[in-house]
Amino acid sequence: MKLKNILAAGFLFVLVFANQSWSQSTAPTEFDKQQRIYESLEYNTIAFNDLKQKWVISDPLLIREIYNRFVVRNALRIGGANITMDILKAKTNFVYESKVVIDLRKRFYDDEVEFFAFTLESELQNAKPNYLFDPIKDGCLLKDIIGEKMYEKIKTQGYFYSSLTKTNYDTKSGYFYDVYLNALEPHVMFWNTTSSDRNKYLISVFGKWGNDQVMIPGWYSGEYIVGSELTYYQSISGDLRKYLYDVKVGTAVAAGYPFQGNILRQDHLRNTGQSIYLRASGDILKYLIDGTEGYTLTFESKYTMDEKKVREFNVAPTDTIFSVRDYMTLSLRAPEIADLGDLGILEVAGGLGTSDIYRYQALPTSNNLTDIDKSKGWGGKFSHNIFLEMGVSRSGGLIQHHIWSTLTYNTQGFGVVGFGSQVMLGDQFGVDLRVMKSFGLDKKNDPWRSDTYIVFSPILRINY
Amino acid sequence: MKQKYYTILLVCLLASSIFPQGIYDSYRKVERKLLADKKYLNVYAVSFQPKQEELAALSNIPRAESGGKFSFRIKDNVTYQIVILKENYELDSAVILTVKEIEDKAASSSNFFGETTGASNIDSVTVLSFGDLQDLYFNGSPFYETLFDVVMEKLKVEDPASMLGITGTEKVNKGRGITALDNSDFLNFEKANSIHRYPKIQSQKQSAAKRRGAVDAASTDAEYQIDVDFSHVSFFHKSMDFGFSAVSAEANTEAKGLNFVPYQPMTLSLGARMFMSIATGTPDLKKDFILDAKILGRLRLNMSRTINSLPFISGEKPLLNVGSGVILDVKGSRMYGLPAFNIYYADGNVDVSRSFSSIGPADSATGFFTFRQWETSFSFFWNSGEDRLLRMRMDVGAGCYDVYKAVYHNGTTKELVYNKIKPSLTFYVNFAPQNTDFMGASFRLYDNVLTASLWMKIVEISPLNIIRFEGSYMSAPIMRSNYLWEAPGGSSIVQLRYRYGLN
Repeated sequence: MKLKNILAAGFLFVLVFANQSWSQSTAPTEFDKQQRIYESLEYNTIAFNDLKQKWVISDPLLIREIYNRFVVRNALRIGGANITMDILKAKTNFVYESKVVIDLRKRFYDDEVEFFAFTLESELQNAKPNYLFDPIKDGCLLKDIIGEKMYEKIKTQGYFYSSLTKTNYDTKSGYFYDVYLNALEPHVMFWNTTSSDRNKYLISVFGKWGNDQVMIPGWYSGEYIVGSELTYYQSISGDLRKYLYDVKVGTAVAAGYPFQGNILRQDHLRNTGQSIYLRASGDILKYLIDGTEGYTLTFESKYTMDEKKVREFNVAPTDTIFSVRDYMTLSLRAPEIADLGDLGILEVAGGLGTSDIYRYQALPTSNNLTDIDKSKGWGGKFSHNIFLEMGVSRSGGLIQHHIWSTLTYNTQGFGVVGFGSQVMLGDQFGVDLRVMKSFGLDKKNDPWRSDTYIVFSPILRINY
Repeated sequence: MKQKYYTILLVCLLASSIFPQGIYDSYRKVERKLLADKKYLNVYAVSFQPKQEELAALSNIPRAESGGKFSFRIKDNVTYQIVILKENYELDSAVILTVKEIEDKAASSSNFFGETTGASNIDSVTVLSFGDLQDLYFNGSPFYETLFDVVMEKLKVEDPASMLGITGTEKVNKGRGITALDNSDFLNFEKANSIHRYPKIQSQKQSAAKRRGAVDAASTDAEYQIDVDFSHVSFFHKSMDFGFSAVSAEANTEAKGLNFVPYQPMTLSLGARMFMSIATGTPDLKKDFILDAKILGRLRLNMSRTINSLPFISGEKPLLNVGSGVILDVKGSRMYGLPAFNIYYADGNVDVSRSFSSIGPADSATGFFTFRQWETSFSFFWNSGEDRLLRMRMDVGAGCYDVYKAVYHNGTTKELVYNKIKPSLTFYVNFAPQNTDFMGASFRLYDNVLTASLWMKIVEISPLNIIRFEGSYMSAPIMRSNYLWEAPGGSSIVQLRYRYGLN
């Protein structure tokens, strides 16, 4: 009899626990599959998750109201499992202390809530916050828990909340056309072609007002260079500065001075002849020296070929006409020195420059201008300088900027220190501002130079 | 003792059935989702009418959730809708979610002659719920396998119907606007702004037909077209349409290469305009090279006494005399990858003998004249989005005009005092809701003078008759002082413009 009882008990044991272990092994698998089906029902908009409408409810009373509905409906879960009363009480303390906020997100194509979670306010600064309970990822389920009226109230956002909806400002460069309107250095790219793989040839017209590297920025130069430009990219990229080579050819025309009348001051620089301008720039050192990929070598030169006649100047015979007729610079720009995060990429450039200065008089007794410094000869009119630039630049995103500081020192014992900035919003609107201060300047010898240079221009860009 | 064992047995068996309770909660969640969130579900429906040979395998299907058993039936007005979830990143095969029986009750109530009577009366009932199907699946039921095979066979021959109801998937989300690679933007702009006839491209014809309901698109093409306002008139008749080109006539009181509002140049320009499209293959306005060229003669009109009396113009009497001559005004669409271009050239004989507007005393007056003006620019177009609600254009170029100073003292002396090339920049924007040009504005900066213009459609009497209100304001020079030949202050003009047949 005893054996019979033992056998019967053993049979019961096997029956019960075998059933349980079968349930345990299939139930989680079944459960997982159901969960996956449930989560796959909605139209997947994962690509827009960062752009969906997001907000945080921080109204303490509203949060308590919603929280209580969850408690009453026994809808709070942690790890998919029911919570105990102890856990509930511990979490509810945070609600009493008003430390709890609700993190929400709407679906992309309609107005329904697709994410709802209770979390601590301190968790919001984390990229992946720890939630107090399992988030609700289904608006229908949320509606079922808190009721239709409360759900509609949450959806229509008729309460105090903090919006965290992201607006996409990312910008990419286009190669169809590029209208970059900046009075100091505009360019209009109007033609492009691809000859093989992903390369690009671009033709543009450009303008250039002044030359920072020979210490005559913007409208202080009295000349405006216009011409054509050819740019070649071995392979297109998001950064329009990463060309293989860029060649500009142009000429200088007389330019006025803004904020002044039509009569120029005597000590302003002027255009005194027809000139030819050449700028060649490229990432060509890599073909000569290993490890120099990305280093941009630039040669820039302007040469004035002839002289204007006296009748073309509206000046008194005793006035002196100052003109920088020729200059030349050679510079090297180092590629990304360091990535400074949101500040941008650190860049450094340096080089040598040389420029002349002519002093003329427009005497009525002659058709041609009279060179006051004729005895110096062509070479004697030149002075040389060394320049350094360091700055940060950032492209993409909402704000694009290029901010740099510059130091130029001339062999005649004076120099210029300053900074420049080009800041764009959405790569469409911006401003270009350059401020430079002279030091060691002898105004008596060089009356055409200024103590302070400030040049600026609004920027408008249309790029497709 | 036996009773004790039976009690223990009963308790244990009951306890063992508590563990899979969570599964049924999942079934509830899915079924509630299918019922409540109809529009946003990425599910598909396969229609199925069983054949006789399939009935045996689809009869007496046990329904663990709904209860009882279900058998498919064959009837003309009965169709089964099998709702499925296709395989995706989470699921490695399709899942049958529900089966609905759809009965068209109206079709079943036909009269003696077999015709259906009354309106359609569709009755839809869920015959196999999600829970029922999942139960069949996890029990390895042959019924589920049969249904699955039916679905797979159907998917091989036809695409299932999507039950997704959101309209957002019909349009593609784009961050930036668009620009056309062909002549579409150029033609849209000229159609809205040019005073001459431009042929409609296909999308404009369709929009016109949609807007007017049953009106045939062809009937909106008039026999002749007129564009007239206070300062210009243009005329076209269909007899002037030669197929590959069309000619129209024009008269205007404007001077394009100068900073003047109409009438201020004190000239009248008369001439003809030729429109030509050059096709390399099959004619297609969007791809052909389009040339729009005007040749006009410019005559001087002495309006010095009346110009200040014109009620629709305000501003000081102009000081610059515009000479007679010839005008060539050419516009072209994209060619060889270049942007659309504009060239304006006006030239005439240098004759300073008669000045309509002079400065100084009568015995030693000074007059300023301009005889040659030119301006050239590239046009760049872009739109706010695919619907082209805002249509924008930027003209970037340069222009030049000469100025002669004539002194009438002891005879007449003249000298060239100004002849400089200046950059020109013009920005246009048109507002065209539902492809209908409604409003437009432009801002032009040339020689430090800003000219702002605005037009708005105010009346449309049938598609053929449109009246617009137009206005322009030209500012005083910005960031420089006035030249001697520039009148102080700005000028403006307001006018009504009537367009017939130029819809």
